[in-house]
Amino acid sequence: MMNREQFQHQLQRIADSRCPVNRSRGVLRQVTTLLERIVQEIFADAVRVLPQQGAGISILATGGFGRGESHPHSDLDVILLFGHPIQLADEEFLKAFLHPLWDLGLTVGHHVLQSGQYRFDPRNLELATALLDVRPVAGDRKLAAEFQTEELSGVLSQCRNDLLSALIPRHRERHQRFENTIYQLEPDIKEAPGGLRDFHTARWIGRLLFGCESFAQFASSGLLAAGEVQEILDAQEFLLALRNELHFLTGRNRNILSHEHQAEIAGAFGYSKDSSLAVESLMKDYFLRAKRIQGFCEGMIRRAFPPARPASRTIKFAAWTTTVVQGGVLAFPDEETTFRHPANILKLFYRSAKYQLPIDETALNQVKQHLHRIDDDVRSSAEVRELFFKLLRLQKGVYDVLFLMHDIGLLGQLIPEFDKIRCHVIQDFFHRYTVDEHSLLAIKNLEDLYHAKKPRQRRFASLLKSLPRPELVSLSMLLHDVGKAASGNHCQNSLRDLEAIGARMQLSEQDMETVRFLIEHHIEMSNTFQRRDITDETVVRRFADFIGTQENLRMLCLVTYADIKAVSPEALTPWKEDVLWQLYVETEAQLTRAFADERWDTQQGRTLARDVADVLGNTDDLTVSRIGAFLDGFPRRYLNYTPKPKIVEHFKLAERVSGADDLSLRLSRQRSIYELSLVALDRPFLFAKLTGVLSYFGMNILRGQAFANRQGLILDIIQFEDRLQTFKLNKSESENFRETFKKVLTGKLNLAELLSRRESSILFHRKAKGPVSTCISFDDQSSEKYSIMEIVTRDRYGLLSTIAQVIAQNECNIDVALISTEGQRAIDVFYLTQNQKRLLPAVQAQLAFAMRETLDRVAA
Amino acid sequence: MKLVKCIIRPSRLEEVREALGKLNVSGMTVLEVRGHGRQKGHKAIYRGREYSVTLLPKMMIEMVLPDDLVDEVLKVITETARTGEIGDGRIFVLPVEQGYNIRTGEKDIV
Repeated sequence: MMNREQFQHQLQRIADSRCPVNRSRGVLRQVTTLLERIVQEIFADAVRVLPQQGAGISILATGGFGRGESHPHSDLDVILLFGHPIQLADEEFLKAFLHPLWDLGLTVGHHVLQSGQYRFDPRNLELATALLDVRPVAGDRKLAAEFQTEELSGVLSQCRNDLLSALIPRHRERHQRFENTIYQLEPDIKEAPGGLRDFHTARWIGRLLFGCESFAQFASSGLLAAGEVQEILDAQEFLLALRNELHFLTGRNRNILSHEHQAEIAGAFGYSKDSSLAVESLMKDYFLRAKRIQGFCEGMIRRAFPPARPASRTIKFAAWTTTVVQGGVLAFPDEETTFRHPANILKLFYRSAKYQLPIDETALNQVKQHLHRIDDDVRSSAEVRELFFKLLRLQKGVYDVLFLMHDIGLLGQLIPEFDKIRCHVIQDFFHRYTVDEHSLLAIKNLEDLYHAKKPRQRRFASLLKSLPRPELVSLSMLLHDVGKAASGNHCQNSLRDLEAIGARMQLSEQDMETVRFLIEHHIEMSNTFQRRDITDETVVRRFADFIGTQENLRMLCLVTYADIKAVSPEALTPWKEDVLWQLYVETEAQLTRAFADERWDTQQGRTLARDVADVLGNTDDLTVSRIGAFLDGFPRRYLNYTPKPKIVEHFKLAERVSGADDLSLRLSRQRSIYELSLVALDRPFLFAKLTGVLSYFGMNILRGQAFANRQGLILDIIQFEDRLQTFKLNKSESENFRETFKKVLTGKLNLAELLSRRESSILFHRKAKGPVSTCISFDDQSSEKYSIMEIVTRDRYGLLSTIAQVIAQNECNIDVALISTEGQRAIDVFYLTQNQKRLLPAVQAQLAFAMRETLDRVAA
Repeated sequence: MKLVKCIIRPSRLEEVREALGKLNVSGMTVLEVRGHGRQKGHKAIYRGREYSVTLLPKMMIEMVLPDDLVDEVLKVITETARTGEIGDGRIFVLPVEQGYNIRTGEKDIV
C-alpha cells in the first residue's frame, strides 16, 4: 500500500506533467485515477477483517471524485454503502478503510449508508447533492448498481421539489456571503458567485427538473443553445485550471485567488510579461467566465422558480401589439413580426423596467438570436434613441434592465463602445468592480436616490429631482469610462468615443454639450473636495468660475456622488459625502452670491469676540477682551468657518493652558467621525507627534488643521475615523491616548518605536504590493496664501507623521492637511507656509528633495 | 512546523473553529483555561455581595501547523476572535522540533 511520501511523490509527478494543453481536465483525470487506485487498494486490504470478504459493501465516489474531477488537494468524498444492517465487524472494517486514508493526509468526507434506508433530509443537503454525482469505485458492483438505478432514482424523483426548495436558499445564502457579486478582489474559485459551485447548482437543476444527464441534453432540450454549451464548458475548464494551479501552488485545498497568486498564475499561464498587465488580463478572463457561469446558473434558477412578481392588476394580462404579458412575464407575441422591426427589442426591455415585469426566458433567447438585426440603421433611429432616453429617465428598474441588456449582449450591440469595457479590470486594489459594472452601478446609485430614505442621501436626491433632463446624467455615467479600454488619458478617450456615439445616435448638439462637459470633468469635483481645502475662499471661487451654472453644478455633484459610490461599497464614506455636500453648498452660494459676504462682516474683530462671549454666557469686558486676544491672529479661514460654540470650546481649552510645557486637548465625536482639538504653545514637531500617536492608536486621519494666533498659541484640529472602534468600545483608551501623547511630547516615549510596533499588526498586514510610485508636486495657483504640496505615495503606518516631520525639519508650517487613501495609495495634500508666506521655489525644491529621500528610505 | 497557542474569549470559540475549518486546519486541541491580561479581571456580584473576579474564563486553542500556513491562521484568528474590546486574547507562536503520531509512530512531515 502507498504511504504518505509516495502519495505526495505521485501528486508531484502530476504537477510536473502539466503544460498549457494539460492544465485542466487532464490533471483532474490523473488525480482521480490516482485516488481511485488508492481507494481500491485500501478497500481490498480492509475487507480482510470481514468474514464475507467485502460482499455486500460498496464504495461510491461522490462530489468531485464522483464526477471524475478531483483536484490535487480536494477532499475525498465517498459513500460507504452496506447491503445489510451494520454489524460490529463492519465497524472494524470502517476503521481499517478510513485510517489509512487519513494517514495519507487525505481529508475524507464520508457517509455510511445502508441500502433501502436513505431518506431525504433537508438539513443534510450535502449528502443529497453528493448523491447526484455518484459512481462506484470499489466493492460490490451489483449492490451499487441496484442502489443507483432503483433506490436513488426513486428517492430523487420523490424529493425533487424539496431538494430544489432547499438548494436555492442555500445558493442565495452563499451568494450573500460574497455580497452577491462576482466582482471579488480575491475571488473564491469554488464558492463565490460565478464559481464552480454555481456551475454545479445549474447542472443539478437541469438534472432534477429536466432530466439532463449530460450537457448535450441541455442543448437538445432547448435549455441552452449549442454555442452556449461550449462557452459554458470552456468557462468551467478555465476555472478548473485555476483551481488546479492554486492547489499546486499552495499544496493544500486552497481556492481563493489571492493577489499574490494572481501574479504567479498569470505568469504560469503565459500572460503578458508586464506583471500588472498580466494580472489585469487574467482577472478579465476570470470575470468573463464567472459572468458566463453566473448567467447559466441564474437562468436555470429562473426556470426552476420563475420570478413570481405580483404584477399590478391592470397588467396581469396585456396584449400590446409588440409585447404581451402572460402569466406575469413579458414576452413577444410573434417572433417573426416582432423582429422585422428590431426597435421592438428595446421596447421589451423598456416595458420590463417601466412596469416592473420580468422578461420571459424564451423571449431573452430570441433576442440573443436576433441581435445581429441591430445595425447602424437601428442604432441611429429616432425611435431607438427616444426609447433609450425614456428607459434612462425611469426612476426604478433601470439598473436591472441595463444589466440584463449588457449580459445578453444587447447593450453592446446598441453602443459597441460599451462592449469594449466588458469585464475590463483596473488593478489598483481600490476599484472593486470591472469598468462596465462600475458604470452600471453608478446608474444604480442615481436610481437609488429616487427612493432614498436617509437625510444624507435625500439632499442629493433633491438635486436629481430638480433636473429637467436627469437621463443625460445617466447617459454620462454609462459612457464616462468607456475610454478606459484604450491606453492613455481615459477622459479624452471617452470623449472621442462619445463623439462617435453622439453622431450615430444623432444626439442634439445641446445634449452633446452637456454630456461632453460631464464626461470631460467627471473627476474635477472629486479632486477639488478631496484634495483642496474647501474652506479656502479661493478654491471655491475658482471652482464656481469653472462650473459656470447652477445646473452644471447639480449635475456634476450627482456624477461625483454616483461615480465614487460605484468604486466599492466602502469608497464613499459618510465623511466624504459630507465634504462633497459642503463643496456643493459653498459653490452654490458663490454662484448665487448669497450670504458669503454678509457672514464675513458680522464676524469681524470685537463683534465676533462679543458674539462668542454671548455663547459662552459671560459678556463682561474682561472676558470679551480675553476672547479677543485669543482670536487675534487666527486666519480668516478659522474665524469664518468655525461655528461659535466650537470657538467657545477652543477658547476654554486655551484658558486651561498654564505654561510652556502644558497643553489641553478635547476629544469629541459626531457620528463616526472624531475630532481632536489641541491647544498648546508652539513647539517643534507638535503636529507630527500628534498625528503619529493617533496612528499608533489605529486611527485613520482624514483632515488636520493647524492655526496659530498672535500669542504663539497653536490650535490643532484633527478629524479622524476610529476604524477599530477602540475609543468607542474601551472607555479607558481615550485616557490612555492622552497619557501616551503627553509622554511622547515630553520625550518619555519614543514615537518611532511605538509606530514600528503597531506596523507589525496582523490586522493591517497587506500581502500584495502593487506598484505605487511616489509623486510630489506643488500648486501655487489654487490658493492666494498657501503653497499646496500634493504627495501621492504608498500608504503605510505613520505616513502622515513622517511627512509632517520632514515639513517641520524644513521649517515650513502646515496649515491644512487633507488625507485620503485609495487602496494602497495615499493621496495627502498640505497647505504650507514659511514665515506666513508661500514657499519660495528654492524651498519647494529642497522640501520635495528631502521628502522623496525620506519616503524612499521608509519604503525600503 | 509551529505550535500556535491562542487564548480567546469563550464566546468566539465556535466562530474561530469554523474559520479555521475553512482553512483546512483540522487538528486542534481546545482547553478551558482561566487567566487575565491587561483586563485584570472585573467586579461581579454573587449572592448580593460584590467580589473581584481576577481570573477570567478563556478558551485556549493549540494547533501544530506547517510554517507557510501560520500567517494566514494568525490573520483568521485575529479577525474572528476580535471584538475590539480589551480582553480579546493573545496568540503565541512557538517552534516545534518534531511531532509523532502515537498510533503509527510515524514522524510528522508537515
